[in-house]
Amino acid sequence: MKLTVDERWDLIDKIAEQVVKYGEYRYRLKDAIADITVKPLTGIPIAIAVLYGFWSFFGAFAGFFTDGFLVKLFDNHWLPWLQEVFPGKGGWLYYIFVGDPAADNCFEAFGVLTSALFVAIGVVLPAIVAFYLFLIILEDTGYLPRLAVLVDTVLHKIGLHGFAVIPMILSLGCNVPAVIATRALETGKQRFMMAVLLAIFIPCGAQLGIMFKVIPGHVGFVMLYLLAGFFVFGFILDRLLPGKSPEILLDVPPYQRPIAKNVTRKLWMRVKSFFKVAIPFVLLGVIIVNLMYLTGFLGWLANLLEPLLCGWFGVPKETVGPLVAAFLRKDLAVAQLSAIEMTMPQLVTSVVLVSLYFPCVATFAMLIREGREGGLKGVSQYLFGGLGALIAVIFLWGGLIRLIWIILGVA
Amino acid sequence: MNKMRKILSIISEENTVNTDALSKKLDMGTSTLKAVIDFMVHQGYLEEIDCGRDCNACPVKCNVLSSEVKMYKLTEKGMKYTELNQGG
Repeated sequence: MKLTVDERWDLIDKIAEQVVKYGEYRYRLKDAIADITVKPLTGIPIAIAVLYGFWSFFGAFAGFFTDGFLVKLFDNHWLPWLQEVFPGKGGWLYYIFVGDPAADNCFEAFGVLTSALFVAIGVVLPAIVAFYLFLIILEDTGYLPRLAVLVDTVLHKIGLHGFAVIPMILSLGCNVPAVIATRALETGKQRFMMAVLLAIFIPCGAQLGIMFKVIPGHVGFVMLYLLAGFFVFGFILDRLLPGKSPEILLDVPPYQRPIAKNVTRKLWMRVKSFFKVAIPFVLLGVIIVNLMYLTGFLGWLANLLEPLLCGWFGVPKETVGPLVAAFLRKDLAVAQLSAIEMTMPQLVTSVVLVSLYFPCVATFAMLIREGREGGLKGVSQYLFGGLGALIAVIFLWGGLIRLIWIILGVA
Repeated sequence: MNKMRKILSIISEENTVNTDALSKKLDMGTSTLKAVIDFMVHQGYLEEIDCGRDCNACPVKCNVLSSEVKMYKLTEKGMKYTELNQGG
């Protein structure tokens, strides 16, 4: 006798009922804690408190080391010593490596050994350590998967599911591992959407660290503006791209106490990866921008793009230099913006533009690599689809912020 | 409706469901639920989602996360079975 699938399952169920004793569900304190972090009524205030704690810790930790110690080290000891011992003051080699001979702080000197080193080690490193330390603790306690469950409904509105929050948060540290983390999303549509959205809208920890230094009172506004863009363009992409997001089952691990050994090991791995990826690009970025400045290419490019930069975005043409540097490192680009004379709304617009503008070279390479998984079609989708989305975002979202300033009467 | 059918139906009806909520809904211990899930994966009704890449070359290092999350999606077989069940 051949049984249908239904009959077979019914038979299995009958046998199971006789021979298997299901363990009764017991509600424990651990479950109660797990519950309040995933139920919207209690989970959302907890998530806001956690994110606020994250934000405060990030600012306090990075500020303590940067302003309290590293600024003094670089400005009072490193810069004067370098200005004294580096040969050929006023020459092009001096300009590239030490920068402006009259500078009294590393932030504005713009040499490879002054600004680049200060940005990478003095500002970005403490920010990266603070970010990853907090993130790893959240990961190891088991809070992140619960945050994924909590935000699931919101992310479904743009065709993603709750787990997409993990690459989003990783992206706040560095876009490169975040693009890789999109592999855990199930469909090609979701992976492409998430990779493009986070490469465009989510600033990395290094950039955030510099933003806290350059526009300390406006970082929250910039982050909200970028997050709004993430959802608006996510919604549009979801409607334009074919495909659907499948239903999933998440096996969320129980809450647990983080183990110090695991935390330090993971922190070291991620900081080491920052050193490998970031520092060479920061140094290279300063060399390229300084060479472009010395040869007059930057001036020519600034004049060429002046109608676009001044006319559409309302920022000075000199921002072209940081925009070029942004391709190599966005943190470096934001640091360079601080040396350009402009109003606060212009500075905020420029920071937004640097964020939206082309992803840094490491992220770009990773996007192409992800596209390669789908062969030539995949590369074309990531390259041309990504570029199309990028151009639309820069013009619309970059232009909208100027409109906001005009409406507010501050432009 | 048997437990396995219920699990498949709940997954297909809700966008994302987590094991804690599911075990409560089914009044079933989480370890029992996990055993049932493993069985359904083995039978091809559910499929574990992973990136399928070389962990050593990946900077995300999710394999060293002490709080590893497992994700499953309904397979074609699982979906067909649920649809048949809904139809009947």
